[in-house]
Amino acid sequence: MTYREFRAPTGLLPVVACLWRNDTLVDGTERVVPDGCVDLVWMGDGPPLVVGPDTGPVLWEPTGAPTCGVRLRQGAAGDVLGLPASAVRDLQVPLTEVWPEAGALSEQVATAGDTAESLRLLAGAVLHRRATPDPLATAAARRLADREIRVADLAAELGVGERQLHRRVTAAVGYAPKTLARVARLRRLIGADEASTMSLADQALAAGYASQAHMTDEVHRLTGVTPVRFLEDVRLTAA
Amino acid sequence: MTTRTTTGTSSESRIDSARQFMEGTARVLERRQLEVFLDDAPVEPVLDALRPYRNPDGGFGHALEPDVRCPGSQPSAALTALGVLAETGATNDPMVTATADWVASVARADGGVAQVLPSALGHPRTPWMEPNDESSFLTFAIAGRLHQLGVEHPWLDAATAWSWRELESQKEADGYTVEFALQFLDAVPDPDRAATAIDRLRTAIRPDGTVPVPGGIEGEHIKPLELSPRPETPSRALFTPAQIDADLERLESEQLDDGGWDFHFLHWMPAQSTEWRGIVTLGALHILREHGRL
Repeated sequence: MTYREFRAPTGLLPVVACLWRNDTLVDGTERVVPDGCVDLVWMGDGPPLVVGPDTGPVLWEPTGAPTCGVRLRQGAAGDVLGLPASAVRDLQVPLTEVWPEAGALSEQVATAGDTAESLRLLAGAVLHRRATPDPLATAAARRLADREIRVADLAAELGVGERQLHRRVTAAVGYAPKTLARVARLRRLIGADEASTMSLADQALAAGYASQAHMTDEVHRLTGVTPVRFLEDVRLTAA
Repeated sequence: MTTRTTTGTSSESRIDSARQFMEGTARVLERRQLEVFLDDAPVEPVLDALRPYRNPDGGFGHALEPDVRCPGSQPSAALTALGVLAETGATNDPMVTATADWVASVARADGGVAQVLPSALGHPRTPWMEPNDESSFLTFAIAGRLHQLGVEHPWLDAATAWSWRELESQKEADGYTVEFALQFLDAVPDPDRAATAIDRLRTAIRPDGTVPVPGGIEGEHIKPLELSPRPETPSRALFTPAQIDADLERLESEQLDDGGWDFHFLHWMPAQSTEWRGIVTLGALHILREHGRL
């Protein structure tokens, strides 16, 4: 089993998208592309890390061991971490830098025998924080995931000013609304591809890009590869 | 109560008639919960309605759980209280820890709790609620609610250990044990181990997604949405989308002409019957909304 997702326990449903275990890095590399989520990750060795929301591709090197993590929902990271999620944007930092009181937990995870044990420790730690996602950021993320919408229109729809939306989304998600919209568009491109026989140009328009050239430029900036290569990789991972 | 409303009822009329039923029948606690659910009302009146069921020992009694009607504190009433606290999101209310403390005070040495305590003797109750001195399936359900509430408590550690021992023994779970075990497994923050234990319970479920209840009324069985009431939870691994859809249609079709839903086990006495109907009506509305059908 290469990559497996576990559904969140009931008390974590509001803040956790899923828990996962990944064997890819035992002897391979993996290109991780932006998904707007913050993860608490154990690399199979050493203390747990907070992996912030990326704005570009990150190549993970082989670790020689299975890895696992807790993926926080978009909009939940700020309250779970206890600091603005933008503070860890594009960063991987030891969990103890974010939660200074978590020294004992970090030690337990570092010496966990396997991913099942470290997932148990990490899930319990997030659960005991009793965090609540920012409802405004959650609503913004949901609307952006559904369809293409301008940030100004989004703010109006949610009944707040653009500055407040910017501040709350940046703190809760770790991105400005504009970046969140770009990541959402990339996710829609993946979603539309799965059952699609459309041409690349039509897929671009369906996902919300202005043109195929716009899509190519955006996909390259977020993932480091061409759209064709990116969608092939996604299909391989999903298979 | 026998004529069923037709399928295809609009959400609005479904909600209106359910509200009529609750106003006509339900107790204050469920009425206040309905206001939170339908009208975004404040949570405080729900907690106010819960407090009169409390006893000085920190537990709950007074038929908060309608099958056991004694004044004294009972595990089933503690479970009901924790369910109310969890569903209203009152994770930081002092009643949460106080309830865990009370459960710890009546727990058995192995970490489990009895289904019914001796304080029920001499008081009205349903026939399956007989006091005995064995750790019961309520342990799973109470532990599950405390996990859901994010509680850290020494008794919860003991009850979790008891639950894993039961689930990982060679015993075959059946009836309500399956339902309560799934409540524990959906809530315990130990995803890998829970997924394995959930898979082991598959043999207890019939091809149509139901679990028979030995010793229940004739044909009594537990339905998929009772075993796995929420979407996106670990227990959903046991059911196909088609089974869930079929059960949602069953649930929709079971709203009665008086606007309420009914329960599927023995109706023993009038208050027990009406009080359960308020509880299951609220539960049905929750399930339908969480599945986008309300």
